[in-house]
Amino acid sequence: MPLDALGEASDEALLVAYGNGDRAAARALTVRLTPRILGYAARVLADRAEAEDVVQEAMLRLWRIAPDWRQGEAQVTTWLYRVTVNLCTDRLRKSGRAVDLEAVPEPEDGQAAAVEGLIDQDRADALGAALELLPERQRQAVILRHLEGLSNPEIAAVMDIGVEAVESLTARGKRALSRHLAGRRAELGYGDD
Amino acid sequence: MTERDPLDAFFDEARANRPTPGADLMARVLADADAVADGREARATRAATPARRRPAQMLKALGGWPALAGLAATTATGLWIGFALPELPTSLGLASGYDLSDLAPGYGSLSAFGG
Repeated sequence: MPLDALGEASDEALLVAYGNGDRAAARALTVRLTPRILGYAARVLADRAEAEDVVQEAMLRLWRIAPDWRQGEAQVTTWLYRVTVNLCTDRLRKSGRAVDLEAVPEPEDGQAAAVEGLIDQDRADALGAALELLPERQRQAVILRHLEGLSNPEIAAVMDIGVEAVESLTARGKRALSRHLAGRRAELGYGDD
Repeated sequence: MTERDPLDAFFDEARANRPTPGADLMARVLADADAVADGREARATRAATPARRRPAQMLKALGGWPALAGLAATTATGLWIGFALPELPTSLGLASGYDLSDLAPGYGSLSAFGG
């Protein structure tokens, strides 16, 4: 594939080209996709080194599937997010950090204070710490929707659930985040608007 | 004007502070891509080596499977003749004045061996 065409080519076209031996296509895909899944993995795992390992493994699986990629069946980004989500889930469960979806009740207002000890840096860190307190599936859905910018149907495909379930997860996740962060907003400079 | 969700400010901040991959991670990912491509090309090369193609080429040179079947039948017939050694004719039966050995020198010794 000509170099000037790489930037305009779809993810799928690049993947097929790589599967046919075009290594420049792999470079274009790496530049395009690695930052996206790193953003997700780093936020879900809250561990940069672990997130990078997950990203490398997810991309490796992408390289391996390239020759067998069935065009038109799925979006490359959806497939890659799905692999990344599953790898992150495996890591969280193996390390005992996973929080079961239904095991944790939504926090009472007074529980916001519990977060304060975890929040010690800036606003992004505050959100990160609050995200860590969410049940696993809520955290995944909120990150994919509000930080990665995926649509609800895309998230449904990534998480292998229905769109209504995505809406429910993100709504409950946001409610929980609001309560966790309620006591921090003024302190973090957002005022009380 | 609609009221903005207070959480949006946190999301905006987080998106602005998106983790970015360092050169080391990009190099690791690209090295994997090259290694997978190398492995694929090596397998394709091995699959096309002459050593693997030789039996097929020999068969083709002989004329394919039909020719091989004919060759096998001929071999079996030869073996059968060798073991059964049917009775050999001693003359052509057309002209009593001639013996097969007159027409095919060396036949006499074969005939004697069979008789």
